[in-house]
Amino acid sequence: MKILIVDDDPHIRTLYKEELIDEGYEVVLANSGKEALELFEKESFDLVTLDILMPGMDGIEVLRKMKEKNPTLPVIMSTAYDYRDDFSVWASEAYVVKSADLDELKGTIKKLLNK
Amino acid sequence: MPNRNMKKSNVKDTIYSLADETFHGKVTGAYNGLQWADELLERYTSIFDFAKAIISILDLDELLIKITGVITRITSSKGCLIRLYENGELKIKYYKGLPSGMIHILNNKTGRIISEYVLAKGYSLLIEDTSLLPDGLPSQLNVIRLFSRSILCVPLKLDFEVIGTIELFDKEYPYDSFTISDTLTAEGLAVFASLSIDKSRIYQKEKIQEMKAVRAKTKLEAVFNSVTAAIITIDRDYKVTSLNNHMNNWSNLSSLIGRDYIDVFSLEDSIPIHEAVKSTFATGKINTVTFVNDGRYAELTSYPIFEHKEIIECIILIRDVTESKLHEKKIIMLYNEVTESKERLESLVNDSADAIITTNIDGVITSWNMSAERIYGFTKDEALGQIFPILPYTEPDRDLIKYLLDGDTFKDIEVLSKRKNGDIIHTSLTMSPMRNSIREINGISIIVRDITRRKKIEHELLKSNLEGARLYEQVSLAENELKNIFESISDLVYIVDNDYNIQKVNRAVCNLVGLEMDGIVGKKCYEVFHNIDTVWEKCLHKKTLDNKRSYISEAERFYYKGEETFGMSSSPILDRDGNVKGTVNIVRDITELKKLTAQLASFEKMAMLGEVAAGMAHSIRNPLVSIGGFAKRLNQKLEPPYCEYAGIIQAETSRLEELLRKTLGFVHSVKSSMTTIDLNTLIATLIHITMKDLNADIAIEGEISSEKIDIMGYTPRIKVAVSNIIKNAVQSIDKKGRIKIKTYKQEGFAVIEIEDSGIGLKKDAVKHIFDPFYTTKPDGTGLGLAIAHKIIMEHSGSIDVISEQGTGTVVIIKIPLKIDNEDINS
Repeated sequence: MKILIVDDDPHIRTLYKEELIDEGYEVVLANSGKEALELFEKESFDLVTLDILMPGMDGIEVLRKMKEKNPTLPVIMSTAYDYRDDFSVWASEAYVVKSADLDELKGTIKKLLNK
Repeated sequence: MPNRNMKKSNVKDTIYSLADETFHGKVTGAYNGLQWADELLERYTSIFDFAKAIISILDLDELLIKITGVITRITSSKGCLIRLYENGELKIKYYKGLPSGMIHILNNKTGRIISEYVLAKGYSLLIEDTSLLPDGLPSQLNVIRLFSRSILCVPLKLDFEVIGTIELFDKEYPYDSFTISDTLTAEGLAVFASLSIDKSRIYQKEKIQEMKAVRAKTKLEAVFNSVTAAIITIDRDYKVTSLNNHMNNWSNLSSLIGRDYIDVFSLEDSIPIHEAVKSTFATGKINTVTFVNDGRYAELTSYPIFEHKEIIECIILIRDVTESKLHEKKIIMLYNEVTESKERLESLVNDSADAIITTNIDGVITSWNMSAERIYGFTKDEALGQIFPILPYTEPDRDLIKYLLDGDTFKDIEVLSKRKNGDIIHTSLTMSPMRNSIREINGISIIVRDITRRKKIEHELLKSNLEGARLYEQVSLAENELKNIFESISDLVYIVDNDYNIQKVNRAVCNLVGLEMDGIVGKKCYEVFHNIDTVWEKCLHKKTLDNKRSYISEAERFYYKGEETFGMSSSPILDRDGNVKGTVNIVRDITELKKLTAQLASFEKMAMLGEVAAGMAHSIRNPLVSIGGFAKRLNQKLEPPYCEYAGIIQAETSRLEELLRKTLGFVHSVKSSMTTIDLNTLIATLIHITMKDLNADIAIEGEISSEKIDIMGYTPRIKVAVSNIIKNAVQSIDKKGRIKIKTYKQEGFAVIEIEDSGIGLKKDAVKHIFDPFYTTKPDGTGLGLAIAHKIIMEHSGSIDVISEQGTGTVVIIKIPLKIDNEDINS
């Protein structure tokens, strides 16, 4: 299973990568929305975790473009701030607030990939 | 000798012919010359004496006495009777030496025969011897025969006119009969007697006329002086010729007769009077003018007096008409007052921002103010007489009109209307029936507010986004609440004149001041409202008077007895010439409005905080996640004791994360569906949980409504809100105290009251209690009540805090009741 992790924070990227590799997933990293979309063109992924607040293109824009391309691809919005009231994130499959405890994230990924 | 074969029936003729014979027989008798001359001399002497005696007598009665006396003496008669011819008959005027029984006979028809004969013939009748009269005469004449033996009757003549008769009866001693000589003497005397009688009669007539004149004069004088009007007469030289007593009221001069009449009136302007009099003299017409003298109103009328078609004098009549003038003035003043108040009302109606329209019961427009012109685009002239609404957009509700005519009033009905140019506008109508003086409904008054702009804003807000709509909802809720408050507390409206005297007030003013209208009107506005004896420093009325324009402002403690904040507006009332006559003042208690505005402001603050929080979250949470995440990994990989250190890092990080979660928790809302909440159960549970954690010194009591109270909401959030407030109440109690929690329904709201006997809050603290991070406690976060506030607002509710230092605090939460399907159906 190949997961694309999009986040502008390098430490978060590293943490997610190590934790998810430990869980047995193949992980690809992107440091911006632009890079993520470029990778998205070249490769295919089973799931994407997407930060919202990023310099340049923000996560909501990336989500819209990805869903245009592949509407059934599961996307988890993973953010520092709770945007759940915002209509724009409704298009994503799940919404997880970032936390040092990655159990919620891991559980959500498992659930989405097992469907 | 007399013919004795005469007919009985013709008595009159008989005696006439008899008399003729007798008289002529005597006249033809023979006299010797000397005897005739002696007799003649004697006769003329006596006639002359007689004339002398009577000629100076003017009084008729006296004259007749004299005549009778002299004649009887000269002719040596026993009796004498004088008749005068008046109004077609001979009337006995005086007699002498005759018994009354004989007078009676002489006055009746038979007794008048002799004198009537003399009257008709114009010459004397001598009956020398009555016994020679033929038999068969009427019995009355027979009686005369008994009384008298000889009768002589001579006429009283003026030229050829017989004015009366003198009858002489029987000669004194030597009991002789009357002779021709006696007849001539009597005739001579009669000539003078006639003249004297005539003269006396003329005199008598003149005397009567004089008496009449005197009486008339007296009467006139009495009238002259008794009429309540003053009268003066003036001649053609404008000099006063006479005047009555009442002139004293109009002039200070003591003697007026002979003076120039204009001097009589001490007037500044006597021209109108003079013109009136002059005109009367010139044209003979009656003129009337009114003038003021010494503060009295007078009406002067001049009448001409004619003599031989010439105007010789002028009568001036002056009446005091002050009373009627004052009455007239009063009526005019009343009329002006009515007109003014009508104008004032009209200007109020016209100045109103709302259209004010009245119709009759058939909906025909009867009045249309300026605002109506503005809103609908129809001028007054175009609108009057049309059926309202002029351009209906939707069919008018027939039932509505029926209810109106039954006396109901409808408030704030929102309808779409068409303007003259075809634009569709949103309007809010308030319709109420109008009644005439006998309380019959005779029309409908309609107040129209153009709410197109409000509707547009509402529409745009709805379109833009949900957050905006929610904000609008809050605003419109606040606005509605505001409207309710305004409706429940009517504005104070009063009118003040230029001298600060209150002229009119509405019921709300009476309610505020606690006096009836009579007790307020006429007093100074600063006395009534501010309890001071000089103009209030914030007086808008003064500003309006000074600058002739409207002012609006706010002031705390407008009314000296209260703490309330008032919004005040003052607008000038102008008269026709544009001068300020006073002001219309509208004052409303806006304390509640201020409170709501403050609530909204805090809401805005919250929204701003949300944005800050989003940024903060990003820059704090990301490093925290990294730190905590890697610490966890280290914890798993390292050997003791280092793994423990990593564990500490991890634990501390999660504490920080928890703090962050709490901090940000209230700035975002959880989108999930609302459910029905049984508020009584929820509160009871909360009380139960709280009680478990409390020590025995704090008593908590619940007064849960026996009615079921359902609201729509997010259960966990309501729990958080209420428990935050309860927690606050517990913390406010120093050592010992009690908390009372009540639930009840009130006007469509569920109410939760949380009352504590704690330390209470300072006034300033009450204002800020819902501000985030505001706290009075050394270890407080300042978020508990801010979160509670936000949650209640999310539920379209309100929180009020009433607190007094040292006594405690009451927090009142209101949340709209759930609307049941049954309610909707009904």
